[in-house]
Amino acid sequence: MSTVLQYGFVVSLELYAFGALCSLLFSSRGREATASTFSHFFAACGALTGLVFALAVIFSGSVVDLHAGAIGLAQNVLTFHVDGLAAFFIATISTVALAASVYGIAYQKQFLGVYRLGHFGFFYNTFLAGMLAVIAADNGIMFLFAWEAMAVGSYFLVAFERHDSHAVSAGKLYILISQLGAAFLFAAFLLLFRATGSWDFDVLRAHAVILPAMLEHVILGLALIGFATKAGVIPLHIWLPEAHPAAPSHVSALMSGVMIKTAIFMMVRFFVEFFPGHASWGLVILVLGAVSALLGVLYALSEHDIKRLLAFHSVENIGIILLGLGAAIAFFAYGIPVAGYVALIAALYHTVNHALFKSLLFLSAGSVVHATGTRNMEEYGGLIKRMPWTAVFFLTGAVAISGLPPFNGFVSEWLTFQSLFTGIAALPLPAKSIFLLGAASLAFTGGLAAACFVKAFGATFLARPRSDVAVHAHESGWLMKLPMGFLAALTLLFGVGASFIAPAIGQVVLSLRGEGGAMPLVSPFAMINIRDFALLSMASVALVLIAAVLVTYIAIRVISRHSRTRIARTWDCGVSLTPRMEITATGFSRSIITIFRGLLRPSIQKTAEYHDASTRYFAKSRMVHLSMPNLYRTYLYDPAASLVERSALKTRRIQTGNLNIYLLYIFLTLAALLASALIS
Amino acid sequence: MEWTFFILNMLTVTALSPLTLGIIRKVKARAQNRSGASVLQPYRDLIKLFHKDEVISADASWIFSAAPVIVFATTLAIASGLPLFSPVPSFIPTGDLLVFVYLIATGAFFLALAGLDTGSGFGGIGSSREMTIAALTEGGLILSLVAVALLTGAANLGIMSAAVSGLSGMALLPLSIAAAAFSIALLAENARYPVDNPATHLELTMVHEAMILEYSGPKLALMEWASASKLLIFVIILGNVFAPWGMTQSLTLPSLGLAFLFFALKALVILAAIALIESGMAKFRFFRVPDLLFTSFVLSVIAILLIVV
Repeated sequence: MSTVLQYGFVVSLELYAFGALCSLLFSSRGREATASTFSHFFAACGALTGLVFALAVIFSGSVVDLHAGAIGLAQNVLTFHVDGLAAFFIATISTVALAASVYGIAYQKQFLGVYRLGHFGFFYNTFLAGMLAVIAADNGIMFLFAWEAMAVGSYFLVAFERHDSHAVSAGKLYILISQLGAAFLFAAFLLLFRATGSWDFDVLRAHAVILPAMLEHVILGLALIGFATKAGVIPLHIWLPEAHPAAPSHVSALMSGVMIKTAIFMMVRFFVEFFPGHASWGLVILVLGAVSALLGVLYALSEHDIKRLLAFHSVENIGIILLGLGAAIAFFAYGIPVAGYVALIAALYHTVNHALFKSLLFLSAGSVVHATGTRNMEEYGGLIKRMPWTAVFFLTGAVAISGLPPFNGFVSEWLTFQSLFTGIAALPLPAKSIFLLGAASLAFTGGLAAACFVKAFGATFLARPRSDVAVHAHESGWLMKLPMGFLAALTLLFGVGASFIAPAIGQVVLSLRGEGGAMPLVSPFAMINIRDFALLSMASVALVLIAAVLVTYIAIRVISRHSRTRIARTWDCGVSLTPRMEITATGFSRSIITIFRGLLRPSIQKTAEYHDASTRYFAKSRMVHLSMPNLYRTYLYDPAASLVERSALKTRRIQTGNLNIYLLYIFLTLAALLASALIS
Repeated sequence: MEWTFFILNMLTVTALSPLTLGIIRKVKARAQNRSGASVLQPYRDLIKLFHKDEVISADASWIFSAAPVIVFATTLAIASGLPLFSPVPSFIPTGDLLVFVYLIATGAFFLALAGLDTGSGFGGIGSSREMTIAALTEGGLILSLVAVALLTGAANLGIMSAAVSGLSGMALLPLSIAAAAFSIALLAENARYPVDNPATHLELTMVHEAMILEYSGPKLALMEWASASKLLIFVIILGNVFAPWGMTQSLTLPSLGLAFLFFALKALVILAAIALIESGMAKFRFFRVPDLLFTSFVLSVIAILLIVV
């Protein structure tokens, strides 16, 4: 045990490093297959080590501090601190990384000879190691370094398909917005350094330095913008639906499933651990969460690109996590820590749940894309017969993300709901109304997510194939099915075993606030008890549900044992059915989009070509263009960009090219500096 | 004790649910000056369907066969946690209000998938409409129950029912507003007027019927039975959680019988109201339904604000 605790983290990082180097070593064109296999294999080993290490930390309740000896500038930079919270996130990241890496071995083969797999392997491992270092970093410099390594590593993964102009431009947008967010973080950390005189997080953790209230709010504001950009909170989300789908599917799973969670992790650090006691920031985060959850799912409904749809659901689920997190911050500030613990458990529980079912969905969507070669859901259909396993895995993910019992999404949504209810009952009036807003948003989000996944599963897997590529689709190999099965089993386990998981996360939360002890062992039928207001026993619910299904199934077999089944065509009203008569993904969600048109502003454009232009009775062809404008670009980003451009043009005037003028500038600057030095 | 309660609940709800349909149809027929079929007709229909052969579309997958079982099983699971004759002062896992709402959503989810599975245009449009309505109903459904939960300090239907009967008169206003919100959710969730027409087979208006259009024989029977059970479940919650008067605390046979009589009376009133709504008004145009559902949502928000402020 102690060996694992001592070396686990370093070995995990070293395996990633080894994978990266191996990959570069074999990056010549002839040996790329080896490079790809090696890089994914070592990444999987690193993930497995990280998982074992993190579980050891969580279950022993210990804290691991690592200080690597270094000289010069790097002194005191290579410090890592893994407590319960960090271990929880490392476990989440490693679980998904394990599944994604195994999946990647088979998935990447399709790019052999097309794109550079050796280089991919290098950046893939860099990205994974960067995420691990972000979580474990114990000082500002290490954190920012790891944050940038993670961003740059993932940029190259997004832009991997470099002959595809969409992927390249998605990568550009991603790195641009990512750096913009990082700029806010640099500002926040520099201000922190100036105020505390140290980069160490220990100083913040000990609350040794009391910052001026104003400065603290500025730092928290900057940090919130920086982290919200990475998390994809609306309106800072615009990179997310572009970048996540562009990357290979197992990378999408990692980005959507865990990378955006590193921002959640840092938010917990900042708002709960380092600077607790700001109810107002809690409420701001709650509102951001409510908006992101509802709008995220509405945008997802309007998508027919399967990976973009999943990416928008990440925005939605980050919103749900923020509902729990914001509630927790508010509860701690209002002096109701018991409710705060529940809310934080809800947020963390949803974090790991979303990591599991979102990566499962991305991997199974990846299998579909792999089999059909398109991301357009309108060209799918009937895949359940051609890819039965993938269909089961996708359905598991869909049921879980829709929050249906007994899968894991239900438990964390239940906990989030309970936290919001507690707030509605116990907090002062302004906070109450914001909590009510959050509960309302969550209620509608759940229903809309279910609608969206009926659409996604129905359009992809059910009915008849709508194109040739769907007709010729094939099931993925076992190396791709295995990780999906692993994740699917975990989604069920995290639902049914809620009575184990929730107290385990509770332990992490308690240790974060400096309380706690050994982890209580609970029976699977024990209830999660929220102040005696609500109780939940997922194992019992699952048991009742399974018993009900069995009883129904057996009863109907017995009652109708004499009735025979005949296979026939779907009723076609006398004409032969074509795939064009099925409902499409776009058609399915059209009514919801029409209902929410005030928010979404969909546009519709119809054109028709007639046989006889003068009479215009008989149309030769009709075209209907439906589109969803990107309101954030039109009303936020484009004006901001043009503002920057205009001010840059204005600033250009001082650049005349005349040497004398430049000398004058230098002289004036010098004079001003001397004057200011004299005065102070 | 708990297990007998579970099983008794499931059996009662399942056995009585076709009767609710029979009663609604009878009242409706009388209101329209017809004599109507016997109230037992739904039972005869079910028996007939269970013994018929069935036709399955060649395009259908296992989802089509699994959906009726899952949909029916969710109603069984929900039924196990309901306060039927006696408010349950102890905790029943399936009686949690969010478990109830999400089990209902599970049923809707698989019903909608089944509608899409055969690739018929009707099924597709029905599923699309069903999920639209279900999504928009969820706000009012959850929050109206939450209003009662906040009023009683418990989120379990049985415990809520026990606590509501002990409330003071002051609580009646928010309770009745929440009940109104829940009633709208009841109509929407059960494909009743003015949201859906349960008797139609006209393409333009079908929602629920469109989804189960491809079903026949035993599977159709299960689907029909499940939707009848769902209606009875909502009636029980409206009658016994929002107005739990007349329920018994003692578990002796005579008092249980009396409690059942009270419940039957409440259920009759609710069913007659549904039937009269169906005879007295026109179905809403589909895009006017959201207004009604948002009304339900706003009503429950008002109820909650009245309680917590």
